[in-house]
Amino acid sequence: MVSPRRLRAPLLAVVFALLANGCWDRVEINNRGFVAGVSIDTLPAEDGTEERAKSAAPYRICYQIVVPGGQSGDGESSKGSTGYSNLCGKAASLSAFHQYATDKLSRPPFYDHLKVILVSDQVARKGTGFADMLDFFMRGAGVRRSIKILVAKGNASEALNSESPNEGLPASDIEKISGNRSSLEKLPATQIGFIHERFMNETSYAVQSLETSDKSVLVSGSAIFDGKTNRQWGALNPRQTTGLNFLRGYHMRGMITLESAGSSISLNIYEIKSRIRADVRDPEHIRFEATINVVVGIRESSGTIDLVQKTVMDRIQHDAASEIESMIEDAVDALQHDIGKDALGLGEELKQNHPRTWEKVKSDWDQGKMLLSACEVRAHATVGIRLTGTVDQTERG
Amino acid sequence: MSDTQSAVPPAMLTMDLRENIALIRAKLGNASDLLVSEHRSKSGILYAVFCIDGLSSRPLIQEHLLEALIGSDADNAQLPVQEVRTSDLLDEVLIAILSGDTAVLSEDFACARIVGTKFWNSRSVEEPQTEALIRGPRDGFTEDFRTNTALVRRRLRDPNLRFETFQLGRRSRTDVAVVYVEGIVNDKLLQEVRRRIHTIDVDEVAGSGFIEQWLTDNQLSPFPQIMSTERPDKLSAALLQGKVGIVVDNTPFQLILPMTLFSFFHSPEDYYQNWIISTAIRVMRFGAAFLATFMPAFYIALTEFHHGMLPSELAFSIAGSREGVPFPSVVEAFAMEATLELLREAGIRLPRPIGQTIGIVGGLVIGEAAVRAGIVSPIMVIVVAITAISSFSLPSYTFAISLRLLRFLIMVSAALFGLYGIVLAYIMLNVHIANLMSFGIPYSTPFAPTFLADWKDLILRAPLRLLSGRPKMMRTKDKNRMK
Repeated sequence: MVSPRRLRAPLLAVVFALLANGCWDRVEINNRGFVAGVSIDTLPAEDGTEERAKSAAPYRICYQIVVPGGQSGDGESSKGSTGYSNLCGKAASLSAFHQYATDKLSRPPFYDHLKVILVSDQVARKGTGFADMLDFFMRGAGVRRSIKILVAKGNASEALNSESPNEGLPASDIEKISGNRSSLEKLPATQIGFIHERFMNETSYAVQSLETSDKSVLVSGSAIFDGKTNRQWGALNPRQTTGLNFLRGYHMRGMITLESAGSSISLNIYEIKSRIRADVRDPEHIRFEATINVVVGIRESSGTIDLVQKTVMDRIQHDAASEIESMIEDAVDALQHDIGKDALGLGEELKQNHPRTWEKVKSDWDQGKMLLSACEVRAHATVGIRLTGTVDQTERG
Repeated sequence: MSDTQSAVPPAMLTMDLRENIALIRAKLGNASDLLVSEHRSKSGILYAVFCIDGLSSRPLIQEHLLEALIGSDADNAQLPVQEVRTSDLLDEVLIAILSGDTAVLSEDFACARIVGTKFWNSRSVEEPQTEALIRGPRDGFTEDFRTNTALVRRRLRDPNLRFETFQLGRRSRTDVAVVYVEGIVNDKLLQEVRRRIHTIDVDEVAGSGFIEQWLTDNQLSPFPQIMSTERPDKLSAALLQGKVGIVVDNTPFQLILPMTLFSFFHSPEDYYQNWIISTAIRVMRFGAAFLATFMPAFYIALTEFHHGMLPSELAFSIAGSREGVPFPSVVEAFAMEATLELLREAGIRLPRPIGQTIGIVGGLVIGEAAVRAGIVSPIMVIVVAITAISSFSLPSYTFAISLRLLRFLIMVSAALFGLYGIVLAYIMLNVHIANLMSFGIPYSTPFAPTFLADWKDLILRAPLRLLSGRPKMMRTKDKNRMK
């Protein structure tokens, strides 16, 4: 029988060991500096180009820090009053900026609730900035794989100061705009996980792009990146982005407007199905056939047209198909010739279905001999009108 | 019977009536409530009648017993009452008198006739206080042993229903009956119950709690391994499932054994209602038990350690509501949960009309004031309220209270290790439950060991037509309820 006195020391040791190591990671939730958004810019030009090149801190980074209680004014801080403050500074890397932020803020930055990372196109077009900046977030343990990456035209930090009628936080405003699938002029949200995959398999890709003007953000168009260097190579305008959405059959909905049957018709896109087939008999001149099936509804028409007539419907379907084909052609043309990077998924199609051919052409695909520019892409769109709206006429014609 | 008496031959009545009267008086210490009266019958025989005032039916003694004695002209008067037995043992006579029967002694006769005249003021059958139902019988057990056995007998007019009655407690000599249905109950179980009951050696059996604690397999477990109930319908239903009941005098709480974890989630109402609704309610109870046990622990873990696991909006809003709260959420949670338990305890102690008011006012006022004063966050008040509601929604009070205790332990574990601690606590809890036994039946049956046929009445309450067999896990002799 061990005496209780002898037991006391080991027992206390166990208890203290538990207490000591257990609470090691304990941080109160109200002591976290939640970072909701990050923007990465190059230093403004007025610093002088020479100085900028020499500067040990070539980036201007902003953190959007959530202020959970909102502005602690006299009024009741009820729900939805989440405030924020932006912390900006010069840094050579995100870790350096993290240090700086830790020194500046009473609550150290915490990235588990990060929503968007905005990279300025100046950073993205230069050197290895894009991949370097994302490295910090890809390695972070708590950082979610679903963080959305957007390329900002011009100054990225301005977007973090934008005003939203709905959201308290500009970062969650941007996140929600980026995430909605009701417009064809932007791509499906580009998440950090998706980009990491592109980094690993070295295929070129498109990233959502964002523009800020008058304290208001607009997410449309896309930025095209080279899979090898992860540098931005060009950009697609909204129309070309719509074409890209159709070609790749992304599950996006939205409107297109076209002239048909003597009237201006707006179509609501419900469904896009796309299938690409490759004819690889001549590896120097591969022919791609894309079949695109689109289901639409008629949402708006100018003038009075009789939608009950079959000829009118056929006309609209035909015109819509050619409009979609022309959008796709625009996108393909820009990517094949102006930008010369394969964000169309053609290379992936070859890799999956014609691996032998791909092995032959992959080193000269969107680089070297630029076989991408030499290949031919034909799109065949079929449009089916599912409904013409809840009324067949809105005015008597 | 005490040890000394078994060694010495038991004291007997004598032939002399005077001596017997003196003996009984002396044994009872000239008790003021002992009524002794002497009557001479027509045939000239002297009778002495003993009873305790307040425990016997006066009209019965007066009108029937005494009249028959006095009016009798036979040598030994016939007594016009139903319950008569004879005894020549002094102790037996004494106990009979003390339990409310009447002893009739006669001249020159070393034998007493004991007449059943037990009658005292007792509470009438009322609705059970702790196990009220919406739909179901409203009668509950009372403190009276005979009423209680009658309530069970009324529900099961089965000739095989058995009450094995004996008296327990060296000094209290409380009536205790082991109830079962012969032909259903498993013999081994019954023998084990008998064996354990006969090991009980206390001077007073104050309520069924004494017996429950004496019979319990594992004294260190917080979980009840024997169910106590106020509802006769619950007891009789359990008997038909092959369980054994113990009816104890002086308490409205009767025992059912053996018990498994899942039976504490069942309520008699489940069988009185449509099976779809009953099943939905059962699922809800399981959820409630989980919340009652783990919710504050989750709050602690998520606000102290795993902020990334909350949805962003919720994380910001919790962080915002905790703005300015001076204590870590562990302290906050412990303070609030302790306050809740205090309120519950105070609600019982306070006189009933005040009790309810204090319960509501206390809850509202303390919660609201604490939030206003910035001592706790509003989210914490919600957590506490949900825990409280969940724990009160469980049908068994004893089971709910053990979950409340566990809640505090799991909170400590969450405060030390976060979600990892909760998982550890959960595993430990499961290990403990898997190790528990109640009268030879593992506590976790019918999950482990698995009796698939019994799952029909576990979380799911299958339609009555499908519940044709008795629980397989009880290994009953009669396996079927229907043909």
